[in-house]
Amino acid sequence: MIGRTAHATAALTLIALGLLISVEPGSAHKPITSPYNYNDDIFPILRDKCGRCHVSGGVAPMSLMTHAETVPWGESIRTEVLAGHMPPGTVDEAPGRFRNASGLSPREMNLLLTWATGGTPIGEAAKDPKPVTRDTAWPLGPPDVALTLPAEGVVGADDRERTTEFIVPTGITDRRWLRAIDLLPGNAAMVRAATIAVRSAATSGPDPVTERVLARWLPGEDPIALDAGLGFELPASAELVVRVLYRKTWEYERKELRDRSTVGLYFASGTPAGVQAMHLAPDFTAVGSADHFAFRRVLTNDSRVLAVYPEVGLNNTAVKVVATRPDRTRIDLIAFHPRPDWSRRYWFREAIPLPKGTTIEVTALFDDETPLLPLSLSPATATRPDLSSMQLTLNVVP
Amino acid sequence: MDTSRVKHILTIAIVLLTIATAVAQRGKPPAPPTLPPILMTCIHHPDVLESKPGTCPYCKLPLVPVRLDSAWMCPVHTTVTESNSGKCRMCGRQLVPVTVSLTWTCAADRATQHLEPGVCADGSPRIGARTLRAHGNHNPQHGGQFFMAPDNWHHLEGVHPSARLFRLYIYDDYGRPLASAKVKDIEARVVTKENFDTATRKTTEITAFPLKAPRNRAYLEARIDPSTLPAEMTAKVQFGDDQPEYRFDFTFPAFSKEPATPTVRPAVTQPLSTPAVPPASAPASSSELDPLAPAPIPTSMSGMLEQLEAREKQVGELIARGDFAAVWVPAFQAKDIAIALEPHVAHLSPDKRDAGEPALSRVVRTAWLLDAAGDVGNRGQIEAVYAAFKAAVADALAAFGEFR
Repeated sequence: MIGRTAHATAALTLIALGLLISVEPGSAHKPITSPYNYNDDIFPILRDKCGRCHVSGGVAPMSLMTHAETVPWGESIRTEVLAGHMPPGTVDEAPGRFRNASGLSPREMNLLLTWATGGTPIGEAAKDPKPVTRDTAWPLGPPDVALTLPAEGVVGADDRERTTEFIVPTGITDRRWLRAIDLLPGNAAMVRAATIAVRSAATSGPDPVTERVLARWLPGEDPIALDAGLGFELPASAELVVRVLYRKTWEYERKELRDRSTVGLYFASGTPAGVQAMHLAPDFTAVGSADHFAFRRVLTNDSRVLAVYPEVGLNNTAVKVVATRPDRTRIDLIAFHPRPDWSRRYWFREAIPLPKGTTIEVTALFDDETPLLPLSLSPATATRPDLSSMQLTLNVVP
Repeated sequence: MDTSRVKHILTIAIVLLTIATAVAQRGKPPAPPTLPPILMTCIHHPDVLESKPGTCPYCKLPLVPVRLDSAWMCPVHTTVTESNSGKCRMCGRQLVPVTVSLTWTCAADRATQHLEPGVCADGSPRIGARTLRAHGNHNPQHGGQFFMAPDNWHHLEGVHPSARLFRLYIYDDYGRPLASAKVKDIEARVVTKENFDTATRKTTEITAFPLKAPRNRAYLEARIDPSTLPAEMTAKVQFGDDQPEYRFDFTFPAFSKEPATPTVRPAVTQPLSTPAVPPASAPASSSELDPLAPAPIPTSMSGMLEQLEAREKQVGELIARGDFAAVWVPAFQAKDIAIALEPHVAHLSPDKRDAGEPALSRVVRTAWLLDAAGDVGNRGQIEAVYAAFKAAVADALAAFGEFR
């Protein structure tokens, strides 16, 4: 009996030792199918195309500036890139015609998708990228005049977003011309968008208004300075109207955030040609249905088009703006999806001359991309936008 | 052996196990008792899971240790991982079941991943992480057609063994059959005839049969009206009361035959990697390309354009015959050609350049969308994606037209 007991005991001891050997801790692995790695291939793309927002302290809810920070978001990167949502601000046609519409190149897109779905490898440790910090300098250099907002913008602990309007006296007593206008966030983690306008009657232009937009500010976008000989008019003793959209990400749930941003004004030299705003909105020319809406406007003066921007953002909407000159030649000005919260002003690389009598036609189409998306749990049908609310503005000079 | 002796042996064994465990854990913090066991897997074949060291049955590489756990995860925000089902706190989407690997790292050495919690060299506790596991076997195991559910966890194989029979096998994310008890909880039916109203975009079922689990069987089955080949039928499946109903469109060119051994179809198990440099040789004619075989990217512009067009047509043909799982192969070939064409955009006239680069980006994007749509087997979705892919290829071909 003792012998059998000893045998059984020995056997159990061996099993125990075997278990210990088999569970001896080691390094974990996961399947890697991506030939591209973070250090060599992915980081440069993320740094250049995403790093202005996706950096520690940036407005995006996560940094993508290290491998460890990026890996948990691999699936999010895949879906956002596939959906065409990130990086934002690209146009549907001819991105090269604009100064600020570059998105991912075909190769960059493929690298990101291959890496995100292929095990997110890191690459050689010796090639770990240097730490990236958020750039807090003015992209165009120190402005001629820096105007700090007169009060703090606050998003309370129980709020997620808030739009706050600030009236900012310029204190500039003579008429000046501006080549660029910028905004430097005080708290970059909460400043999601801003519009900077000047409040006073325009002295000229096709649409005299009491408030003219000088700048549309979005995170991650450098301001565009006007070419020499062009300028935005800043009337004497003008007041700026600065509307800031503040939004907290999930990182700051139940926390109060405060901001005090600064507006930067860059003066143009001499007496340049004044940049005017031409509003394109539905009028008696408007025709359409729930899926299709179009309207047009005829130029009453010779103009050069510098930029175009949407006044509203609409989901699932494809917008196209086409100019037809009196000689019947056509030029496609822009084709894009005006996404809410990403109302970018697109600057043409070269001003587009349009003679008096040119017809500018705006077409808005319901473009349901829902069936294409891999977001299997997204709504089965897209929310239909109110296409008749589509409005755009062209920046023109005579 | 009497009861007292058995107790004696067990007591000694327990003492020895305790001592052995204590020796093994000396100098280390005790592992939480709730940790799942360590399994052995292949770095290339995640569906290979063994309880002991060995080699991969597919590629013969040594197996490596992994600690797997189940969790509920947002399908988009994978940092949102919960222990129970519910909604994503970031976007409100329904959480889906996932298999994750558990690892621990130290802040000073994030590259080294450990399989147990513990203390780092600087005295701080190791940082735990849950990483979504890659999917396993996507091959049919019963001679049928295989899809992945949009929840990214369940997998299905539709089988049509005879004119009056449809079966649905359900697997987890590693291609392991679901236990019969879980299969019984699944609500499903097979639709053999339906109408789609293009005006209202609504589908009306005309003939449908409930799918039920036969006694002691780990699959769902329905007796259906006699089919004619090729047979098209749709499984509509709900994996839980709080889950949406998913649609899977099957096309059977012939009656399914149970293979002697599980079918392995390497061509569709993993995406091909993009060749860094196009090989020097190319096939004589793109029309001779096998849609499921990778081919070198032609060196000439005209060859690339010809192959791009051929691959687009192959995608359409595969969709037409319901072979959704194979669509990614020619789609990715087209994508690789689009990337190879990208440097040549600079040689186009300005107006063609304006159209060329966005078209190539759309080819790449829609090729990846085809890959995703092909996995889930929803005909409506994959046809919508194909329409976008086809338009992108047409625009790219038009932009590069002068080189054809």
